[in-house]
Amino acid sequence: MPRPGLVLWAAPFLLAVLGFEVLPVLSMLAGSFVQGGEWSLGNYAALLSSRFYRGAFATSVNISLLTSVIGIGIGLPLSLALHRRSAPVQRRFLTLFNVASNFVGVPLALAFTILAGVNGVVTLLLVRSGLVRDFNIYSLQGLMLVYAYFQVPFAVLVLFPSLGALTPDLAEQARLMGASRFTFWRRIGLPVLAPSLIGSLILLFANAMGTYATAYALIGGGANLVTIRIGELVAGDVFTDPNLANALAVLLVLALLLPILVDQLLLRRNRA
Amino acid sequence: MSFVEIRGFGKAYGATQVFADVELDVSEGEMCILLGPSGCGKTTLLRAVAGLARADCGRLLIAGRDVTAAAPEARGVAMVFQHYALFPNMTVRQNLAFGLQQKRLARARIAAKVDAALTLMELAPRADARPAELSGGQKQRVALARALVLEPRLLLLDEPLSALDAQIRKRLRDELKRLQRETGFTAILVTHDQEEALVLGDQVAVMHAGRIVQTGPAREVYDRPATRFVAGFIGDFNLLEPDAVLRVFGEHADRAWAIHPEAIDLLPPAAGQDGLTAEAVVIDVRIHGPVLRHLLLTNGTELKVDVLNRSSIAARRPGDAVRLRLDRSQVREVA
Amino acid sequence: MPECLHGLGDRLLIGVVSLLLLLPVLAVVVSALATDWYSGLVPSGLTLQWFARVLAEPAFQAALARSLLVAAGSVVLQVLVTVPAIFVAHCYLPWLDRWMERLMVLPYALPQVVLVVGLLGLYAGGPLPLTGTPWILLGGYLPLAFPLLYLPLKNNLRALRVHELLDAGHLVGAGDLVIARRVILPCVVPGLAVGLSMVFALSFAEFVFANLLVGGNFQTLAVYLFGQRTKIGQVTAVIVVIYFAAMWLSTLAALSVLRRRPG
Repeated sequence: MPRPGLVLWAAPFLLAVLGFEVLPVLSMLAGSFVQGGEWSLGNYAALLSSRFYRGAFATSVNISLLTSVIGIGIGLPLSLALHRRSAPVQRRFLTLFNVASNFVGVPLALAFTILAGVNGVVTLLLVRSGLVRDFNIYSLQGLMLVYAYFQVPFAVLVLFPSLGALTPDLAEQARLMGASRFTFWRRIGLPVLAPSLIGSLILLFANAMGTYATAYALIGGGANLVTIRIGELVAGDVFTDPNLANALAVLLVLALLLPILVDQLLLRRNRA
Repeated sequence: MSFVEIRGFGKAYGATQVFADVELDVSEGEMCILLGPSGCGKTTLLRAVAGLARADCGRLLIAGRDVTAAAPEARGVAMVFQHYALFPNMTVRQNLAFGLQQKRLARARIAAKVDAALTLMELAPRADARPAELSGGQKQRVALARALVLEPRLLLLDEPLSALDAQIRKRLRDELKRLQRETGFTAILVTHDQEEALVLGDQVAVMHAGRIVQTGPAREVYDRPATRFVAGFIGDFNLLEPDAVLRVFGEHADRAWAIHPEAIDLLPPAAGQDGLTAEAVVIDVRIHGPVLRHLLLTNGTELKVDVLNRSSIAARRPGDAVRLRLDRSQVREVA
Repeated sequence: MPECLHGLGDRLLIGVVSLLLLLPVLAVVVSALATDWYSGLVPSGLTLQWFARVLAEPAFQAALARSLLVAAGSVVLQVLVTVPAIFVAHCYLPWLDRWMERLMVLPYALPQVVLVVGLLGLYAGGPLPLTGTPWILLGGYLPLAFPLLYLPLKNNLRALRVHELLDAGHLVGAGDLVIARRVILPCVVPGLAVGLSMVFALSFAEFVFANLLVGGNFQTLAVYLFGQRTKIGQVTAVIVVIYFAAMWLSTLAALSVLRRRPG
């Protein structure tokens, strides 16, 4: 029975979403087309023609794509291994992975500084064992290591529920029909998981692309990532340009939305 | 020598015995039913026959070949799983072809066999559908076709009809029987549904707590239950302990009596007293379609009596006094 | 037997990855307790002096208090604003429910730093100057933390068959509000507890909004920690440990609610 007063119960929530999500996005979109107090495409032109900002996108995409692939690459076998264990074991480790994937930002950066900074145990171990000459956590490689730290457990969290589609009887049926393990994975396992693998990859990519605090706390403004540049443009010590920040943020959102939209279109076409 | 021989099969998980001392013979072209309540070990036994679970002891011969240690794919068996296990990413046709492709048959032969199986199971119109687009009954038929197209020496079916609703279950049950008659495949089917077991089974093996407690033709298992468990599980017997037998019929019995509800005749109270007979009062009458189920009370014991539901039969009502009579040959003594 | 080997491989993989994931946590805890950990693989001794030193620091105490305040305020706000909306949407307004589901992916499409840009444009001055005050955090965390509450609550509601409950209530003359308070609310306490504990943890630990929108005007623990990052390793380690202890305690509180209501 729909009654007219019901929406009132949701009104504060709708107002909050409007005020703190919808309007900010609209303000950002509008501001991105303003330069020097006039409507203009100048911000976008400036960003796209700038080597510096193009480099920021390249670095962000590189590190995000790579750590997403690493995340799935380790996360998938890990999820499958966990899937074969008993339910209590699964619950225990999923809790651990949940905590680990939320261990981000300033604390994570500090933990890695302690562990693998100039005087960290891992650095000392690596250097003394002669495996590497020197190891610098405050580099892009170091940043990737830290990203991998939250990407792998995050991959398990988003992949694990979808493994339910791969019931044990499918593998048993394939085996009875004479298929090898390899054939099973090529013809059935991976195709069945493919949609959720792609979906997970997109989520991991977005998760890495949007990361600001972890990178900022570890390397500071020196890391040429899109998020760091945005933060600097709105709150930098040297120079700020809110409207340029608006345009950069819009470009970042587009970069995140594009794979989501392509995936949705592909899914729809597959279903039809 | 039988086509399928199971000798001394046993399996335990730690301290729990899943099944033990299993002996079973299945002749070629026969449908053997493993019947038992859930948790009795019947599904694990079936999986052990398939090679998907490992039996701790015993031997298994299929078509004269000892396959006790053989890999699942080397046993020449096909299986229909309870939830069908259709490959969701493949069409019906691809599902059927998959096993034949693993055998490396020529493309044309595969196509011919698949087409024949599709026609046999009346699936041709849905050949290019994916499992998600099929109804439950269609999925079941695809699973069956996918198993049969491989021409297995032995077909294993794990509760194949239990996930379907009642109407379709009955139809598929009859279809399965017809199919088995026509193509003559040998099968072991696991179920907990006694009616299904009786309709489908050439041979029925009743399992209880990991052991086969009785094996025989369906008719015999129904008519002559060996234990009170079988009597209770298959066909709705009245079970009378010796003291109840004495109270109701005035007879001394060493063992409990099991009596089919349809074996008892209901007569007017004044009818003659020859044979096993007792006075009773009707407590309730329920219509079970073709039969009327009467609940009677006689000397403190409740009895179920079924009478054919014909309009010529005078309706009895709760509170009516009746005389029940029973032919001694209908009494089954059970342990 | 190959089956055994398989189980072994699984265990090994899970074990090694879990160990690697625990390593940074372990490093922080050991460092917080170490007298001095500069030159060796293991610290030269253990002490609680760093804890004493950090806990006695007034700036730390103030930052901790502010973070607890923001986290508590955020939880109260979610209970007052979001919970009724989720209920109403689930029971009566399917269109709103569909939109809420879409809102779930928003944190991935709109990273915090992007929202910061928009929020600054809107609230840094103008008719509603909220930046530099904790109010912007309370408002900003509301949609940010929404998915954390929606998911577990929705799982509970789905399992409940709310419409049958409401109909059953009507048959005995109980209004929707009575059923909601007496039947539905007690049944979704587990989801609510999990969701709110995650809301608490997020609001307590959040850094991007706290630093870029408010910063020094209302320094939360995350921002204070960031400011201390160049100090002695043990000091930052102690703050991280306390930071985690607070979040862990909130989770524990939620779990204890769950334990008390079996099923």
